[in-house]
Amino acid sequence: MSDVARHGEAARTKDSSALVDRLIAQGDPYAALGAYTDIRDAALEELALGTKRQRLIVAAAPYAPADLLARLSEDADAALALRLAKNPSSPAAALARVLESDPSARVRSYIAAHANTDPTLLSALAEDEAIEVRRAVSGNAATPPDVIARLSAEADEEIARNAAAAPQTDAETLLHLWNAGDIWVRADVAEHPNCPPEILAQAEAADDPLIRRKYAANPAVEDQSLLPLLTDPDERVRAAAVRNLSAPDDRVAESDDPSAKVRRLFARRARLPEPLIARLAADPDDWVRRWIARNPDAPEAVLEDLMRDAIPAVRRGVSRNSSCPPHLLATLAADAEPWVRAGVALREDAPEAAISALLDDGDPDVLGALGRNPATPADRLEIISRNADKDVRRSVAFNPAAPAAALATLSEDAYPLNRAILAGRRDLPGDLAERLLTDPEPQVRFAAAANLARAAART
Amino acid sequence: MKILVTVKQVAALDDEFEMRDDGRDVDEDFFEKDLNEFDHFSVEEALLIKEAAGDDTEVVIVTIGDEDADDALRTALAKGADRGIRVWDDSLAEADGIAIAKVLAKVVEREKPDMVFTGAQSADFGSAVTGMALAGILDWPHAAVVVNLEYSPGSNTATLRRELEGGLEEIMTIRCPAVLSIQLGINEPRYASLRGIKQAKQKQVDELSLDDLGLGSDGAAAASRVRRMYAPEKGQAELITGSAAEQAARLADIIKELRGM
Repeated sequence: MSDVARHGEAARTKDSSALVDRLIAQGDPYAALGAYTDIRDAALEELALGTKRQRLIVAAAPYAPADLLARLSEDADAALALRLAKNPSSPAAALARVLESDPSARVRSYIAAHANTDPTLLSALAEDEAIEVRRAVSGNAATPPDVIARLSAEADEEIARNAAAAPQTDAETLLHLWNAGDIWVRADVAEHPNCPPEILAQAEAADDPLIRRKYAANPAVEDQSLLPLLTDPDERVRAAAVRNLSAPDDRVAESDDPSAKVRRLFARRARLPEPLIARLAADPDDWVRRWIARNPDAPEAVLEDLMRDAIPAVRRGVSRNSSCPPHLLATLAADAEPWVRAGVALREDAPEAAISALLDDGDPDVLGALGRNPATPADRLEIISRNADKDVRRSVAFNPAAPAAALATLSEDAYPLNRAILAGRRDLPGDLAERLLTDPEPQVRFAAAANLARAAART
Repeated sequence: MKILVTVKQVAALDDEFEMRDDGRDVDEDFFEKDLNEFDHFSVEEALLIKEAAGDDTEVVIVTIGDEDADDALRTALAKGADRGIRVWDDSLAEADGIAIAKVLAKVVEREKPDMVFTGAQSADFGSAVTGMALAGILDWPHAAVVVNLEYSPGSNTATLRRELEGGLEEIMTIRCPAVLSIQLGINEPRYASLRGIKQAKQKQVDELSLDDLGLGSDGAAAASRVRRMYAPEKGQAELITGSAAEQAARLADIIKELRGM
């Protein structure tokens, strides 16, 4: 397309009404749907919902604007009602309207489980004749605590489990569930942040390791109570305690758990005492060393040791550690393993010399990492955007510093996903969005139209 | 030198769908149409042979379907095939693999290709019958589920590897012309470039009727008829919880229930 012609196209979409006119002339329901996100226009709505097939697609699409889903709920047959009830983007009004149409128990169950369903409706659905609907209500995070309490009185295992796991369940209900529930319900009660102190005391001393493990995972349990669990005979209990410690300070400095699984969890924690870091860095389990290599609290001397580890994944961990000093990154840029060099190539803070050393690397992982890195020189990003490997080329589409020439190259990429990601960039130049508006892929046209609509709505 | 590749526009179902009023197929509002996945590989194999041999080789795509099937045909043309043929007659609306093979055989007689590629099966019906039925009607050598092919245009034979049951493969030499059904994974299908997609709109597509092929409406009669299509009732699933002993006890109960003990 010539510059003059391209300028003419841009003029056709510079404001909302011009864009709507163009999309209507184009007759593309996917582009109309994309533009509708920012331009509420009846003609766009009509185009986006023009056929039964389109209405079914929109009703099931999580990316569909809530207004359009509400519009569909006004005249929804059974197929549309099912899709709207399942769609996570359906607004409360649409769900309420679907419910008014006396839908099947299956549809009522989806509405009862939906995150956007109004709490008043959930209260009504808690009285539903179908047990699956009441079960769904009990598992909904928006269900009021008094409704959960009411449902918990039912002798139903699934409701009891849902209620015990629901974050809004109150202490009184949890006490009832502890007394009436099976071992799985009691376990969830022991893990619940609202669990009353008398139950916590029982859970802490429980014979069953499942209860102790859930107690150890309870976010309301303080470090002082978790520390004794680090010597529990069950490794899963110890692991849960390690995960849950808010501050693994000097009190765990001497920890030397016999289980590699537990040591791996230690190695992932922040604010570890230095003696423990040093011991874990020399651990025979390479997964423990991997996690320490990535731990931002690891001191430089430890990272320097791990940089020479025989396992490439450990060295990769050092390259991805945000505390890794530049001179170590420069050394790792010459590592024999491409996956390690790729770790350096991803670093925006890598020294210029390290990035330069990687520019002629032929490995796809390294090139893909350079393609994502805003510190990579613009001329190199242009070259990477033309690489033979579609996954390497795509990396440039994610790069916020990608030059216009590279983006233009990607707008003609043969791989549709690369064009779709490009079309979704919020900083996409208008002329490229124009070009992508006639792309063969519906997903690309949708994103390009949404981009243009966003810009037009701002003017 | 000519390679004929047969392709099909297949239906991909929504996760929620409804049947047609006559109960013999899915209501078309509930599916998307696309080029059969297997056909991407057979088209690619033909294009690789063409590219290795030079411009003297022609790749012709043929499909049987109404105007909607043009999308599948143009998708194959956009990848680099030279021209297309679409055959349609309303009497083919309920054609099965045998009927389709009869029509394709007439196209082969008309085009006289040196090799015919089909997908190993279609992604929607999965009968895997069309290619081999076509070979039977033509009385041509054939091989199914081909996973590797060594063939130079103009050669009297091709060497291929094909999948067998039980993880076995066999290597065979086949006389040409032949009909080969191509398996997924034989190559890495290309994506059509935007330029290729634009050029495909200008490429020649011959639209033929059954009369054009010398077949009357009953000349491509189906050998079978769908009486009813339905989603079978699903079995019940149960999450078994509790201690190991409790779980074992519940499992024993279920086995007894199912066996009527």
